[in-house]
Amino acid sequence: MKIIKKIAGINSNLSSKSFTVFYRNYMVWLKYYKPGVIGDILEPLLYLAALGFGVGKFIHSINGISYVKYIVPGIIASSSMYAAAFESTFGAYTRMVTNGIYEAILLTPVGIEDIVAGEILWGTAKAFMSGAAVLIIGTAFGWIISPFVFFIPVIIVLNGILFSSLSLLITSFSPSYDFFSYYFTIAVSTMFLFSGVFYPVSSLPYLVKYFVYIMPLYYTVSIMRMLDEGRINPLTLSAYLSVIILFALIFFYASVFFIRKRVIK
Amino acid sequence: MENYILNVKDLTKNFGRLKALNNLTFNIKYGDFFGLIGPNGAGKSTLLKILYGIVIPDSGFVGIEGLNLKYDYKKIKYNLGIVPQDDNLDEDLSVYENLLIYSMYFGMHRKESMKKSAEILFFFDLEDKKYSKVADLSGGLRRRLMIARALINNPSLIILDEPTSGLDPEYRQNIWGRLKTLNEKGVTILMSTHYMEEAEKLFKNMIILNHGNIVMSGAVNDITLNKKSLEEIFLDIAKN
Ligand SMILES: Nc1ncnc2c1ncn2[C@@H]1O[C@H](COP(=O)(O)OP(=O)(O)OP(=O)(O)O)[C@@H](O)[C@H]1O
Ligand SMILES: [Mg+2]
Repeated sequence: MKIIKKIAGINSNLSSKSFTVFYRNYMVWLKYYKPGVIGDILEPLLYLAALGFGVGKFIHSINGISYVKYIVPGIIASSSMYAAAFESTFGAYTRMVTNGIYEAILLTPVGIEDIVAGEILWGTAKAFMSGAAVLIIGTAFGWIISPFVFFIPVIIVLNGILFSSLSLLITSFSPSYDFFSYYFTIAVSTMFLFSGVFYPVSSLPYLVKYFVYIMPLYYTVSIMRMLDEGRINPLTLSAYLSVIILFALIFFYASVFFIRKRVIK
Repeated sequence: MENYILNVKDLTKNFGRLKALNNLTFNIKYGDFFGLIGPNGAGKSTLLKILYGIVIPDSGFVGIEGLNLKYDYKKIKYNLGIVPQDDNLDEDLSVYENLLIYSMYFGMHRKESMKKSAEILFFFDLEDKKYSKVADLSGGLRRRLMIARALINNPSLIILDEPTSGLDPEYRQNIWGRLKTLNEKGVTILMSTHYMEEAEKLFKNMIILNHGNIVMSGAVNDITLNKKSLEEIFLDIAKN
């Protein structure tokens, strides 16, 4: 009951001011974006090239699809995950702790929930840039399989929201920048390697396979692959979408709760 | 109640076992230049932070312009200008962008904020720094920008936490002059300070805090009337 009341309070306080929080980050990004963008776009392409061509020489196909084509949807999901995760950990921590931006914003009629929503929007924008770049290049090289890929941008946005909110939650109780290395090793890298980006999860040993189901990335990779290959199972699709939305909502409300606890004494 | 822009009643705040504020009650009239003085650790910042919503009190009531801070903090913020003790300007943005973004947090329209920014930059003599990065400003200029930023929304009450500490006399007087002008225009000011000279020059009414208690309150003239200077009164209090 108490939780429901809290959630209702957060919802009623949310306002369009979150776009201003987003806009502030965008304005700062415009000044420094060049080196960042090169990294965000180049890195996933290096993975695609190295694994697609290198490993692809040995693995001719998975489920009848050439290896480079197989990994494209996974790389879209993982690169957008990384972009959101970096922005909503290191970037958000700098704003919250190092530069006191949250405190400055709270002197105005903007609330914590607006700050959190604005930060998640911004992390999602970064995720979108990265994921969309891979999608465009994949399309340009003809590595895309079905026309359903045109729904992939929607899933990139969802993936961005999912990982921005998760990462912001981690940031909300992170005592220092160093703490993020736990998150990136234990959570982010593990998801990158085990969520079905590079091989079907079904090939994993029995117990490990079930472990994958707690990884949020597994659900977005699966949906992206479904769309890319045009093999859509409506039941699985809606179940997985629900899981993603549920995860994102939990992470969002928890972030608001913990950031409020941290900033307001 | 109507004569007062701010009502504080039985306000208490503890940090663990430390009693930071102990049952404070006081009111501030519209148009006042109200001072808050007290030694280091007296609870000045804690009190001001409660008033602008960064610290939540354990108990007590705060009303600003007839609204209850507990429920209407967002509404209240529209008429509040706040200058915290610690500088939290946006280092990544220019002077002008700082003002512009701030005005957007208040939901001001572009045209209105451009006009207001120009006016404020002129008032604080910051026009030639308009496009400078905040990171490149001197301490004195940063402080002026902090105050300038707090004026963007045309506040009816300005809360300043030691706005002149660490500034050289020229900068300090410069800020005094501007605050006085604002007060003469009808803006209510609540300000904390360490400097007794400042208190005597600016404040109409004030409270003196020590260990979270109000140890003296009233008109500055009455407090200093026939008695020692504020400096001496302050030293007496700090000794206890
Ligand atoms: N977040 C906090 N957690 C624990 N103790 C705190 C916190 N904030 C303030 N205090 C304590 O409360 C007391 C009052 O602090 P406050 O900052 O209000 O004093 P002040 O009058 O503003 O002092 P100064 O003149 O040095 O700025 C101090 O003992 C301080 O250590
Ligand atoms: Mg203080």
